[in-house]
Amino acid sequence: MSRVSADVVVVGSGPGGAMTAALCAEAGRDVLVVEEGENFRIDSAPSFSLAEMDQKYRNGGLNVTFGQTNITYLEGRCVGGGSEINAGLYHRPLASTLEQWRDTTNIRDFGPASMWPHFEAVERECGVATFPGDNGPACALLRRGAGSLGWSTREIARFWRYEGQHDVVGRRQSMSETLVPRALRAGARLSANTRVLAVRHRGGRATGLVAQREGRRLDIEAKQVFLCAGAVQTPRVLRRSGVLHNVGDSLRLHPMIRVTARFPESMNDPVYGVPTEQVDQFKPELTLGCSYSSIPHLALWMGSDLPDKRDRLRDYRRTGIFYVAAVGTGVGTIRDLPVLGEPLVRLPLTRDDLTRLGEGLDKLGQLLFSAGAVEISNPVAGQPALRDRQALSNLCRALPQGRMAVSTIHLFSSCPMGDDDRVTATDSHGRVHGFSNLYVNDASLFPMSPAVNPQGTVLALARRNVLRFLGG
Amino acid sequence: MPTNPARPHLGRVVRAIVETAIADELGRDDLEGVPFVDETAEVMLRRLLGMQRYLAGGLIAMTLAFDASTRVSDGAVFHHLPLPRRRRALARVRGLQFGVANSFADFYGKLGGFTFWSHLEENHALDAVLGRTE
Repeated sequence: MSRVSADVVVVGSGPGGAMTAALCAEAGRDVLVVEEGENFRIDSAPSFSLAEMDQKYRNGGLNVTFGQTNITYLEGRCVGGGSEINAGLYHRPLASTLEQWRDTTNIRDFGPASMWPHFEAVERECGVATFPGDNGPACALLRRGAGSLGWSTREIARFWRYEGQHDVVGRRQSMSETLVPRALRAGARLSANTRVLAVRHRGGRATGLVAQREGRRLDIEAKQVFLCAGAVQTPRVLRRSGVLHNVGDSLRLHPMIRVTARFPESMNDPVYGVPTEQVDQFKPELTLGCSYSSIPHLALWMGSDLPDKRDRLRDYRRTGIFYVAAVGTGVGTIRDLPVLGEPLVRLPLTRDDLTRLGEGLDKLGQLLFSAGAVEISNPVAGQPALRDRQALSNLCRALPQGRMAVSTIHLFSSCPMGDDDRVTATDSHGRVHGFSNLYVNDASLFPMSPAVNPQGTVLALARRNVLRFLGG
Repeated sequence: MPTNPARPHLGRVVRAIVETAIADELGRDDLEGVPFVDETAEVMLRRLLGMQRYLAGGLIAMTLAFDASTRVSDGAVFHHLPLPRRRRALARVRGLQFGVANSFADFYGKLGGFTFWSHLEENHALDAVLGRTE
C-alpha cells in the first residue's frame, strides 16, 4: 500500500476538476488531481475515431442507462474527461434557466447577474471561438432548410482554436490543452491511472480517499476533497462511501435521436469536423442539428440491414447525420453495485420525452425535406426509410419505446445543489450536506437541465464555487 | 485470429457473428479478399470483455446462447454454419422486436459495422471495399 497526501485533492480532471485544480493551485494550495484514465496527448488519436474510443472513452463507449428504452451514454475516462471526446460546443444557458435553478432548490447568491462574469472568464480563458470563415456545407444546408421555414439557426462557438482565416480543422481546446497544464504550471500534481474507490470520513470530515493505482491500493490523505468525476461517477463514489442523502437519486439527461438524410447534391464534407450550426427556434426544449458524418459514423446510424448500404456509403458526400436533442423529463438513479464497484444507472424515457422527441423529429424532417432530402432513415430498428413528410409525421405521433437507438453525452443533476436540503445533496456552493470539507464540483450539481451543451456551464459553475471556497 | 486464450470458444463465436455482420454491411455472401475482418473481430471481442462486468456477462451469455440456438433451427451451431445461413440466422434475431434481441443485434450489427468501416478508413482502405468514393 502506498500513501500520498495533499491539502486539496481533486477527483477527476474533466471541466469541473480542471477548473477546481487550476484555481486552487494558482491560489497557492497544495493540489493533487486524481484521474482514473490515462494522460494522452490531444492528438493521440483522431477525433471520434475507433482509436479514440479505445483510449479515452469509459468502457470503449459502451455504457447504458436501463429503462423501457435503454439509453447509451458516453463518458470520457482520461485526463481532461469529457472535454477530450465531446463536440466542444459552448453555450451560455438562458437567463431564465438559471433563475429557474435558483428558485427550484433555493440556491444562494446565484442567478444570471452573478454567473455571467464567470461565463465571460471561461470564454476568455478557455479558448472559445467560432469558425474563422464559412462553417461548411452541412451547416449551409441546415440554414437553408430552416430559413425556408422561417426558423432561426445559430452558429455555436466551440472550445477550439483556429490559426487564421483558412484553418477549418483547428485544435480542440480541451482540458488537457488548457486548464490541466495551467494547474500543473501552478504546482498541482497529477496522478493518472488512479481509480478512487471511496471517501474516508469521520464525524462530518473527509480525511482522505481510498484509491487504486496499477492494481495496488493507494491511501490519499486530504484536508479538502473535491469530487469532480461527472454525473455518474461522483455519486457512485459518494454512495460507496456511505454518503447517501439525495445522492444519485435525481439524474437527468438530454436524450438524443439521430437519423441519416440523403440529398441529391453533395452536402457532407467531414474535413469540417462537427457541424456547428444549430436550429435554436425551439430552444430550450428542443435542439436540432447535424453530427460529424464520416463513413464509419454513417454506417453506424444508417442501420445494419440495408441491402444497398455499400452504394450508400460510396455516395457518402450526399448523406449526413442529423439529430434532435430534448430536455429530458425522466429522473433516474445511480447505485453502486457491491463487489463489482460499477454504477447501475436506471432512467425512464418518459411518455413526455417520447412526445417531445417525436415533435423534434417531425420538425427535423420538415427541415430536411424542405432542404431537398430525398430520404430519411427510420429511427425505429428494422423499419424502412422515410421518403415523405407524411410518413415521418405518422411515425412521430407515437415513437415506440424500446425500439429506437437513443443516446446522450449530457448527464447531470445527480447530486443537486441548493440550500433546500430536502431535495439537494450539497449546499449552494457544492459542499456536501453534513460535511465541512467535502465538495462536489461538476455537472452533478445542476438542479436541472441547462438546456444547452453543458460544458460551459460546468466550467462557469465550478469557477464560482472554487472562488467562493478560496475566498471564504 | 488472436483471441483471449481463456475464451477460445467465445472468440470463435464472436468472430463468426462479426464476419456475418460484415457480410451484411457489404451485402455479400462471401468475404474473400475483404480486409480487416480479423482486426474487427479482435476489437469486438475486446469491447465485449471490456464492458462493465454485469453488461458483459449478459451479452456473453446471449452470444453463446445464440450460437447454440441454431443447432435446433439449422442443424449446427452458428459458428459452424456457412455464411449465407449465418446471415439468415442473424436476420431472424434482428427481426425480433424486444429489447434484449435489439441490444444483441445492435452490438454486433451497428458496432461491428462501425468498427469495420473505421479500420478501413484509418488504414486508407475504403476504396478497396467501396470502389472509388466521391
